[in-house]
Amino acid sequence: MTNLEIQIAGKKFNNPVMPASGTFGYGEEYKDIFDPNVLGAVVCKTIKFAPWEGNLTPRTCETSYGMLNAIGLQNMGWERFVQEKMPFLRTLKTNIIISIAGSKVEEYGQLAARLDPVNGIDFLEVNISCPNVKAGSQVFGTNPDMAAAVTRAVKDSTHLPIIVKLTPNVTDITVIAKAVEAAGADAICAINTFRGMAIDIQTGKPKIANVIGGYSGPGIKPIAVRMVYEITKAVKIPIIGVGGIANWEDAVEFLRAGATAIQVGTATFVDPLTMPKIIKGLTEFLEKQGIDDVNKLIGTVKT
Amino acid sequence: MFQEFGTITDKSCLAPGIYRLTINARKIAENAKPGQFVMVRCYDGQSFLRRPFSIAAETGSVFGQQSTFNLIFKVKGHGTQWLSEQEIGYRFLNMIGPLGHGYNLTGIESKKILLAGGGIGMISLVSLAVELIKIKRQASLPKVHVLFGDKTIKYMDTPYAEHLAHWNFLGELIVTTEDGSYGHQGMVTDILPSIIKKKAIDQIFACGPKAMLKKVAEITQALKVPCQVCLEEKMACGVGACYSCVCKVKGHNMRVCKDGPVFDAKEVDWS
Repeated sequence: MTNLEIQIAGKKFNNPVMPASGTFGYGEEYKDIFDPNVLGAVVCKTIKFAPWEGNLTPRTCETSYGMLNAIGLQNMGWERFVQEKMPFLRTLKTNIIISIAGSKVEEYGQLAARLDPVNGIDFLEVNISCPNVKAGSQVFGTNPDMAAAVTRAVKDSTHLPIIVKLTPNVTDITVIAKAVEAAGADAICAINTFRGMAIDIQTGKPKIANVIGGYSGPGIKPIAVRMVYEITKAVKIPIIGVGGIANWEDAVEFLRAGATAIQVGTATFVDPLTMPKIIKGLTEFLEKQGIDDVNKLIGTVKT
Repeated sequence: MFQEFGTITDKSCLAPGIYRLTINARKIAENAKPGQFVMVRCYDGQSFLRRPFSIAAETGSVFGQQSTFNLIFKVKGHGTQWLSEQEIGYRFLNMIGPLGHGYNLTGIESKKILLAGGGIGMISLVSLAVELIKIKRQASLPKVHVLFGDKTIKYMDTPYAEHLAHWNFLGELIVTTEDGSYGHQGMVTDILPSIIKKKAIDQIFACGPKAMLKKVAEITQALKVPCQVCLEEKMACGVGACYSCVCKVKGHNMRVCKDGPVFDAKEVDWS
C-alpha cells in the first residue's frame, strides 16, 4: 500500500493535492463533479475583514497557455463567510484552509483573530501576493520587512498554523521566503500569479478592465518549479508548490523540486477532474517506481 | 451538474457562420432547463478555457424527455471555428452542464408572454418556447408571442423562426431587421412598447446583446411589465468558483454563471 499521507505543521493530509485559493470557490462549487473529501485539503477563496465588490469586468481573459485574471478579491467579508460558507466546509472530512488578505498589516491580524475561534478551520493561508488590488496585498509580498510584519501579525493573533503565499513578482523570492520563515510562518505556498497584460488588437483596449492582471496556467510552470526549488534551499519549513500544474507528471515535478504538497488552480477550470486524476496518477507512479511513501519523493531532484 | 462526453448526432449550417449541432448527452439533456448552458472544451490547439453555450432544445421536443439537445452558435473565434468543424459521429464533446439557473417559470400559466430576442440570443428563448408548449398546452391559456430581431434577412431563414410560427401555442411572430430586408425595419426595442400595449403583455423574457437588454429593461420598467433577461459575460470556470463573470445586481456583483444567467431586468444595474 502506497502512502500518500504528508504532514504540514504537525497536521495530517491524506494526500498532497489541494486547490489553489480563488479557483475552487468555497469548496462546494465542484461537489457535483467530485467529492472534495478526496483532496488533501480544501483551500477557500480569499476573504477580507469587510465585504469587497472586487474589480470591474472583464476580469479574465485567455492567453497562450493560460489566462489573466484581475478579480480583485471580491468577497463577502469574514462574518458572512463564517455564517454562509463554514457550515458546508464543516461537513467535509478533509483539512480546511482559509485564505485571508488585508489592506493594512493590522487588518491581517484582526481578521486572523476573528477566525481563530471559528470551529472547523485547520490552517490560515496568508495572501500577501494578490497582484490585482491597489491597496495592499502584493505590496506586502514584495518587501521582506512588510512580509515579515504581516506574518507576525497573523501568527500573534491565532493558534492556527499559517501558510504564507508568496508572489513571484520579485527579484529574489528566497529573501521573502526567509523573512516569513523568521517571522513565524509554518509553511510557504509558492507561487501566486505573474503580473501580465493582454491587448485586444482590434480595439486597442486592454483585454481586462484592470489593465494588468495575474497570469496563470501551464505557461508559468517552469518558473514556479524553479522558485520552489530555490525556496527549498533557503528555508526549512514545508513548501506547497503551485503554478501551472495540470497533470500528475507536473505534480511529481514539484514534489521532486522540494514541495511537500501541491495546489492546482487554473487547470481545474479546463478539466474539473484534474485533482482527482493527479491523486490517481501520483499513486500509480509511486507504485511503478517501487516507492512506498510519497514523502520519499520530496526533494529528490538530482542536480 | 455533470461532466459528460457528448456525441454529435446531427449537424447543419443554419445561416452563414451559424451552426446547429445536435448532441447526445443523456445526463445533461435530461436535467436541462431553458436558460441553462454548458461549458464546452474546444480542442483547437489555441483555446485554453472552456466556452459557454446556451442549451437549445431540439425543435419540437421537450426538455427532460430527450437524451439530446442542440448547440446553436455563431463562429466568432478559434473555439467556435473548431466546434463548427466537428462532424456527425464525433463522440468526445467534453462538456460540463447544465449550468446556471434557467428562466423562472413559476405562475406563468395565465400570463400573456412575449419572448424578445436579438440575434443569436434567440437561442435560449427558443428553448423556453419549447418548455412553454408543455405548460401552455391547454388551448384556453393565453398565447405566447415572439419578437425577434437581427441585422439582416441573412440570419432570418433559420428553421427556428419558421418552426416557431407553426407551433400552435404561439401567437404572433414579429420580426425586425436593421436594414429592413425582412419584417419591420429597425430594432426589437423600436416596436416593443407598442406590442406590449397592443397585446396587453404581462411577462417578458429577453435575451440578446447587452445594449438591447438595457433598452428592454428601461421599456418594461416604464410600462411596469415583469421582465427576465438572460445575460452573457466572459467566463472562466462556469460553475461559480472564479468570480470572473459578474454583473451588478441589486448593487452587488453577482456571478452570471451561478447566480444567473437569468436575472430580473429591474434588479440589474445597466449603467
